[in-house]
Amino acid sequence: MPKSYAPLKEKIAMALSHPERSRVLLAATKRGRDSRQSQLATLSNAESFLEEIKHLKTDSIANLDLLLKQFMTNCEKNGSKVVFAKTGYDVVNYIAGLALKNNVKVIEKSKSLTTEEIELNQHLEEKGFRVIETDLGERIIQLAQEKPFHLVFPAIHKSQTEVAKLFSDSFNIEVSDDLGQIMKAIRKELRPIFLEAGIGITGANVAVAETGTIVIETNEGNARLVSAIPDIHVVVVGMEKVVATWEDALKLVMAHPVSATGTRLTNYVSMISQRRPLDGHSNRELHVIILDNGRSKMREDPWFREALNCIRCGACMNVCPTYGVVGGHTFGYIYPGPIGIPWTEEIHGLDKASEFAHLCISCGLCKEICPAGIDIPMMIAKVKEKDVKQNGQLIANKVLSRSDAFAKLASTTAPISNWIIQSRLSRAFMDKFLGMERKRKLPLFVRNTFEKQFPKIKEDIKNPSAKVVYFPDITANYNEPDIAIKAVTLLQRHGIEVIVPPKLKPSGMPYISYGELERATKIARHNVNILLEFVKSGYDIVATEPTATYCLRQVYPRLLNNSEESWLVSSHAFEFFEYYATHRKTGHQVNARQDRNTQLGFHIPCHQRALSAGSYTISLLQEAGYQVKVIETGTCCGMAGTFGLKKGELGYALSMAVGKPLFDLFNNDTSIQLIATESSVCTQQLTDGTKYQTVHPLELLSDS
Amino acid sequence: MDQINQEYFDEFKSRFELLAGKVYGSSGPQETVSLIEQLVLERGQGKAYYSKEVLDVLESIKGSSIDLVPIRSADIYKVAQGDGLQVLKEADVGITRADFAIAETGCLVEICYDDSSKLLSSLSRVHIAVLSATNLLPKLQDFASVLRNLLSDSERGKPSVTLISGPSRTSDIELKSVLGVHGPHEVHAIFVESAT
Repeated sequence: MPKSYAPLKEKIAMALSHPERSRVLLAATKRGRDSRQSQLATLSNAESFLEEIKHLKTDSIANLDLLLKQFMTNCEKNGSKVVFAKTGYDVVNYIAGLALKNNVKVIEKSKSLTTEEIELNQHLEEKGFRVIETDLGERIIQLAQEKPFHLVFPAIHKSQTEVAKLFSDSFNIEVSDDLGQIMKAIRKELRPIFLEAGIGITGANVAVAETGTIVIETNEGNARLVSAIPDIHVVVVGMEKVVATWEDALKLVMAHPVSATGTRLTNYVSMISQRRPLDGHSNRELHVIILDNGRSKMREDPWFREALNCIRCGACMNVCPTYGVVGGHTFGYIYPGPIGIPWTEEIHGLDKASEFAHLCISCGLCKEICPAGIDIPMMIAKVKEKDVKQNGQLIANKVLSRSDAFAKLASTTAPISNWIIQSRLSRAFMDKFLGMERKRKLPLFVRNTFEKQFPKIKEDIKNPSAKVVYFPDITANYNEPDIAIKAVTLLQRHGIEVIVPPKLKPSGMPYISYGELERATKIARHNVNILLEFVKSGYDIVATEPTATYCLRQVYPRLLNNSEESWLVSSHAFEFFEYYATHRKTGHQVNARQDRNTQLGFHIPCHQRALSAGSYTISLLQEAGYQVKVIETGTCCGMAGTFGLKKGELGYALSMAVGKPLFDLFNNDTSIQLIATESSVCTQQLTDGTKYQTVHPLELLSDS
Repeated sequence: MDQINQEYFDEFKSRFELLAGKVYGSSGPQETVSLIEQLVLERGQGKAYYSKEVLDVLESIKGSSIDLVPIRSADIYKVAQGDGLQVLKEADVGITRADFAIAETGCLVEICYDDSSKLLSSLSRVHIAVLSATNLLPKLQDFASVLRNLLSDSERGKPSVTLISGPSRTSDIELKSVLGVHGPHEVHAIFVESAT
């Protein structure tokens, strides 16, 4: 029996029943994305800046052994005590020993995810110590006995009123629902603790090998107090944080806030190399604990090594469509959000990760936004694979990832299959036994598939200006052959030879979404082998479905261990309009097939964001005379391939909740008459969710 | 020393003020002292303390001794050795030296060999930073070599260095930005030009 994911579904249902929380969260994540974007826009070299971050992290992880040795040697030279902790248990014991030896009862902390990771507070409290968080958000979480909801904003789900009540109850004073009063209350609580705690524990955002310095970033300034007042300062730092030089360190110091909150610098950046005297009292200690806790193992694993590049900015959770609805208590264990899935699997185990890994709907946006260029989606696919291997595959996932076989059968048996698909009885059956949501209109199948029609429309072109393999995905072949035919006809009109190799398989994206990487790899190898021969004889590859181009460009190379062949095919794969715009005969104009006064709302599919983001399509639509307006939330429409076809919380219900803000944007926009988008699945979602008709741009253009 | 670079000063000023800090130019030690006095009188609600490094800045510019203590009306005290924590508990205004300012990021750089000075800028409600106007770096990356030199000087030990970008702030509750969580609610940066 495959795992039922009942606890996850329950949590999703709970999250969906609190739309007011989702609204707060969505506003927060949107603000995160927007400020990040506008800050990047002010940098003169944003692109190279991000590229440098990726390289410096990759290099640092590659040289980690050497850098750690250098860092530790320099810490000792500076007079600090430095220890290497294999596990969280070692950290707890070390600090507890230190506290006992120095007769310390009260320990204060500034925010540190690394200490959250090992649940340091709970363990120290169990040993009888009083541990107080001094970051406002962390203190709220600690008092509420919860886990962080967001990497950067741990208490983002708590309203001002809730915090006021929490403080009133915890401090036994009346705290009114006013931010000023809340601040006064927290200051009053923490001031004596700052002055009395015997040990201060901080994390570190960067460790600098060349001088043995740790860098701590806080906006509130609490880490300055925690690291300066108590006579013992303990730093707990993950081993992946070490970099070689100050040049590298300062780049990261800027990258963290730019990517996390959209500011240039965190308010206070403390650089601590050795313990300084206070009041002439110089017998003070600095202990640096470097934590492994699974990181060495991660570094050895080619699938997960790159996760160590994470700079903990939280940008991936700000763009993740499902995280934005359900939040970090559902989408996370201790590490939340997209990057939380591989980190949890590696640090806390598969059981914990599989509790939320299937919330990933493979939109790929986290990879696009990650400043360290981490291929988070493929790591998640790997975690899903491990889960499916251990716990079995859901029947709906099995059905949907094999939709190519189903499509073949359905089109052979159309219109009977269509009648079955539409019949209420069979939909009730599919709903109950296959887990397919009955409210969804399923696409109808044609008997006369594109593959069958292609030989009739194929022209033999003498001296072609270019040669193209057209890559039909499932929809273009079995459901909407007209779009494929229009694409081929347009290319041929410009003297471009088009062929469709009969043995090509659909892209295989659903296998990746549902963690069947072996099958996906097989398909990738199969398709790359076929396409490689064509590429070598001068063909390019063109697809009308953004996901198909996305697979060829980005996904296949990852599946095929970055083989030379896969990258060669990748470099010749194009979106249809990208290819058309750059290869059409000069002096040729496109025309509007419909009334050119039609105002179009344009939807950018997630996978297209990793490609042209629709730029060629939009230009061509404008060239034809249409008014085009991109309408976007900046994240996914919620359909996510076949995810939205499944019934229940881990399907339709969540899919529609993700889509709701986008539906609202479209529905509230009265200036448009029609929606244009290139993805077949987005088309289905927008048709179901908005009042507008949604069409493929090829239906809007002609050039004769 | 070079004269202040107006372009970098303007960039610093606009960034620092965007972060809710205040920036002042001062033509020399006397004007600085009056500025401080005025700020303390206007903004202070209790005692004001200054670290001895503040005088170092003013003296290095003037070339002779200067003291803030005569400003009796403003109730300004010098932090004396040994009473740091007591001072910190009652300091409403903290006056410290900043060693550099960085235009690109709009931050002050504070270099401390004793944590008392660091706490004066961390715990006071109002923080006034005084720095020599010529110590203005254009880019954050320019600071890397400064740090390298600073941290290789073994004689004085390795100081604690902090980049400060305006008042203490949080957005932890509903993402609403609030100033002055634990540390300063206000930060005033005074750039002192050397008399030519």
